[in-house]
Amino acid sequence: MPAGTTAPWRPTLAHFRAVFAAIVMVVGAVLWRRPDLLVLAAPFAIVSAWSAVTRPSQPPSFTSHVTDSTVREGEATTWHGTFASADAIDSVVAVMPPGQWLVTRPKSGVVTSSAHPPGTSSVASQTTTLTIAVRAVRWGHRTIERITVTANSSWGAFRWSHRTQPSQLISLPLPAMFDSKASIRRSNGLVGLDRSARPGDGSEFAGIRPFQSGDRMRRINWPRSLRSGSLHVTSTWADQDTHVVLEVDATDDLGVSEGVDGAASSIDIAVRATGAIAAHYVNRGDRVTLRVLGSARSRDLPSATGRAHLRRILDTLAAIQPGTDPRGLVGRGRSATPAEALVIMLSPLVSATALERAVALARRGVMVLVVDTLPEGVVESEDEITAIAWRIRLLERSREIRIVQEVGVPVVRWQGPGSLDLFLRDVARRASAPRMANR
Amino acid sequence: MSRLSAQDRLDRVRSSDVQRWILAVVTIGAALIACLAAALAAPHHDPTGVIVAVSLLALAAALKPDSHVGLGLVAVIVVYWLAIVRRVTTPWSILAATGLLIAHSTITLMALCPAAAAHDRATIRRWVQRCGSTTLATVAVWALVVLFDHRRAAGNAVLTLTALVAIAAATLVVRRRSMPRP
Repeated sequence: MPAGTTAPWRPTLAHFRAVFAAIVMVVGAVLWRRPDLLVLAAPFAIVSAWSAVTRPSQPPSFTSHVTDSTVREGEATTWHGTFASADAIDSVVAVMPPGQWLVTRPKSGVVTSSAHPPGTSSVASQTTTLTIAVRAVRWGHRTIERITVTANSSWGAFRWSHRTQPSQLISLPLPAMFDSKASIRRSNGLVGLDRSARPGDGSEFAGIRPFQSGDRMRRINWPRSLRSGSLHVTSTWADQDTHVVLEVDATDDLGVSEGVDGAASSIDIAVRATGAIAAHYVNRGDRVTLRVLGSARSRDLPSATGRAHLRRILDTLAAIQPGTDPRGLVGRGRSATPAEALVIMLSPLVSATALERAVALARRGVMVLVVDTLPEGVVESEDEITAIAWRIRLLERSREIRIVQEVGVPVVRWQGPGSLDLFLRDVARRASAPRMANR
Repeated sequence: MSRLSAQDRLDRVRSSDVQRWILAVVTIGAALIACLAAALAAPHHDPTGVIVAVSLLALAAALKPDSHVGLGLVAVIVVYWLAIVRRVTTPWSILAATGLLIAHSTITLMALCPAAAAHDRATIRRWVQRCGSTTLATVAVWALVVLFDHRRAAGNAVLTLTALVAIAAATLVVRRRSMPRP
């Protein structure tokens, strides 16, 4: 973004000091016949004259930009400020104010650079660049505040100052490691990596059967056909995808967040786990729906797959602001959950509402898996009464979780790769059995 | 106008770069050198009180470089010089002028950027070279003063008026070049 060229060079207090001291001492030397004052005034007179002669004639041309406006949390981008015409500029300074969840290098956020004044070098009027590295240490929408850029003339006599516009930096969550080998045989789709419950055009062997009209020639099993004397074909199971609905409970943020390098709060765990699960299923070609409950700025994402959809999911997760939606967990998207979908709900479960929602979905025949995102040590409080209140609430929470598990909704703590496998296999096994649901 | 709390001031001081401390020490040292030069030019004067005052003023100027404290520091040293030095051709005036120049330069350097930042070597080298050449020019001015003093010329109102007019003209030129241009 180019700077406005209307900002003029302004004299500094240093220039005023030099000029004032020189004039007063020279006048004093003349009036009081003190030539020694001329010697004391000489440096100030020289500095004043030097500064006035080398005063920049016009405002510098300044542009600034941020290299990447979207990064993963923990990654860094760079702010560049460039003086295209460094005419008569002696030195330049940029000051970046501290931002929330942003770490700068240098740590102070201040960079200085020297420029060559005209006449001292053949590279006068070359560009001068200031660079500040900015690292986002937590996911979310961050703002690089207005950076103050100043250029100084010789002897620091004149200063040109400019404040840049704030820059938005989107820090996408760094998904936690997640992998699952469990298959969920539950879908109406006919594309994907999972084996369908019905035969079709796929890759997994189902059997050998007599040729029917419409079968492809390449499916003919010639050894069997020769032995039996009639045409037989190799049949396969259709490949299917999975519809995964990810529901993030963003009504509260519990625990202390120290960014990507430190302790994680409940919403940190939920966001990173959601990113990991979404990346896993999207990369498998499955359809993923995202619902964020409790955050006003986050919109629901309909089911889709592909890398672009994964990026949309991460963007939506980065926009989460916990506790900003007064509707909370109530009344959002309950009717939109398809019966064949697998719902993975990520919640710290401090409110019974989340568990009630999971049970309600399960009673409708929807497969639900609840991921507990409450961080360790959340009960540690300096206030004794608060600590006791937390312990009581956690005891109640344990009882509620036990009841929900007895109803048939698995609740599991997030533990990274393979942490959901056991429950997903159990879900798959139950999904293949006959069931009765309230419709 | 926002007022910083004591804790904010302490944090700011603690976050200062090493170069900042060095510049502050040089500022105080240069101001003391200018005072000592005056004291050496007038041997029968005890400079203790002025040294304490100048040290405090120099420290204040180092802490608030973008203020008028620096001008106060220069004024105190010059008035002290005027008050005690009688021999106008003393070579100690070169040392005093150099001390004033270094104090002015270091205060200006500190005012150019926040305390947490440091100037690069090229900038420091350039400022040292400038101070060196300015000091050489100051020596030339002292030589001229000595030369004119040996002439023992009588006072001349016309010359004095001409000098004042020349100073006024130079002031106007510097002022015209210093004002912000639209």
